[in-house]
Amino acid sequence: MLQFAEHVSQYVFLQYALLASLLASVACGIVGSYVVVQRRTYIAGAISHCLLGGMGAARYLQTVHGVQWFTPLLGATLAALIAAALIGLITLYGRQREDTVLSAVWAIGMAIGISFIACTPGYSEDLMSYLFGNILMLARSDLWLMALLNLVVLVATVLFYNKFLVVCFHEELARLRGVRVQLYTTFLLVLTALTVVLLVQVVGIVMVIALLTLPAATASQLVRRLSHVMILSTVLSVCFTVGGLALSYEPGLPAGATIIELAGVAYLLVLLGKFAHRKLRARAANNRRDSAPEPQS
Amino acid sequence: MQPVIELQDVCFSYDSDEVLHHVNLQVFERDRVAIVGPNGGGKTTLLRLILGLLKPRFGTVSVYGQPPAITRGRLGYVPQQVQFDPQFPVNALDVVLMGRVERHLIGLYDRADRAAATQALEQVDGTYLRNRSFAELSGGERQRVLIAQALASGTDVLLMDEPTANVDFLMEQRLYELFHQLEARLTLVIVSHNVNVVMAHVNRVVCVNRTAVIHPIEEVTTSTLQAAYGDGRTVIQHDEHRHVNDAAEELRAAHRGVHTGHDHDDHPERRED
Repeated sequence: MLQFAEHVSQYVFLQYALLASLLASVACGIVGSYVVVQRRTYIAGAISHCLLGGMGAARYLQTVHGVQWFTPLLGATLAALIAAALIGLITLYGRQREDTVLSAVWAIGMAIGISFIACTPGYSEDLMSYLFGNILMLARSDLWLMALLNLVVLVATVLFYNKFLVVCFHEELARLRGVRVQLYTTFLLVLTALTVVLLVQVVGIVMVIALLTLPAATASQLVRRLSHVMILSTVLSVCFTVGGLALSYEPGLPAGATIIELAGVAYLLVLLGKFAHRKLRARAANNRRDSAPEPQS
Repeated sequence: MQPVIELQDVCFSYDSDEVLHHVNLQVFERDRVAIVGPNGGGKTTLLRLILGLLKPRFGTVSVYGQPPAITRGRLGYVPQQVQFDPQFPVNALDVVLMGRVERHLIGLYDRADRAAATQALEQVDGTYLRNRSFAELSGGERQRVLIAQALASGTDVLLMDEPTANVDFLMEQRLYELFHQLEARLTLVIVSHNVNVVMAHVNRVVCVNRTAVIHPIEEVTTSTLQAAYGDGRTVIQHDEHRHVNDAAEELRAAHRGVHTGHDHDDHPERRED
């Protein structure tokens, strides 16, 4: 931890990693809350795994055809948006089973990615960093794109918070109040896709669902309004990402995995704390009842 | 005078099972209409057609002279119960404010929205519910919050589907007292299975059992109800609102431990349903 604090002021790659953690945390706290309250974790999972297709295609075009501007992050963003649009269209208009659509998007995205990786010479060593994240390898341009995506998420949330809240709470109620449910549901899917792209930089494709949901799930155990869940979830995300980065640095552990472990431990502790609190309250209530004087007949 | 709600020759079926057959209905401003009928007779379907949540197989439905999909925002709707995630982080005030969600294309609720929501909660005697989690409210409290939501929207027409279905007797009386207060300024359409109680609060009764037969309240008799329900129901005359209010007062007194000399299980409305 001390070594991390010391090195942050010296090394640019650590400063970038710290900045990326903070940027990812804001989007993670806000959009993760929507994902958790809508119980749509598997949508985030499908989009995140689909990213491998975009990343693989981008790297193939860079290496084989020399299209240098088409970075893996840009490829991931495109793949995420296409996946979100597909999931939205098929589930809203296609009258298909949502789990079937999600499974198809999940697997086909990964399959395309693996095919491109196989066709790209000398590329397979980067596969691990995409799957499990490598926050220490971020470039300045990645940070700019992350900042832009973050801005989109923040502005959209402030402008459409009320609409998103009523759509997440009760679709029919929203429809009766004149809210265009399909439009806002698709918009939320796009925001989820952009946030997944941000988080893949930090923890990788495999663990992005955990980072998107654990802080929001932990926060929702402690507060009772969506706006409060978002704020607390953002604070927790900052703690987990920065904490995980610092803890993993000295022993040379993978930062993404440490971040998720930290978030998982916090979630379990909160659940245990709530369980213990409920038990203690029930015991106190029983004691009060037992010690109360018998009513006179 | 243009009707607020109009159904012309409406037929509706779920697959091959026809639920409503050539239904005609007009609801005018300040009307107080009860929709009654047996279970499965098509009461809720009729309400959902008016709201534009279902489309008729035949005939037309209009609200303020236009298709309900366009004008339903002007209707206040209180469902029988809201199917929602009990872990959803939302409090009563948030739910009431949702009644005003269409007023702003973008941005958060403003001071006027909060004032309207607070006033609507006061009207339903629910100010104390304001900051309580919606999931932790009782059935009756949720019902009052949903009515407050409809009132906060500034609607002139309130459609309620079995508003007293999930509440205890005391809360039922309080809700009917509320409807009595609202009937002077709102058009009320109440779907109810509780024929005798709801009749004390309306000027027309629509008996729905695949078809719809409309009766002015003074023409509702035991035989009209038996024709609608096809069973041995009888009409018990209530002296306007005094009867239910007296019953509520008796129950409150019983809650306070005061002996009233009446057994509440003998209450006619309880016997009826």
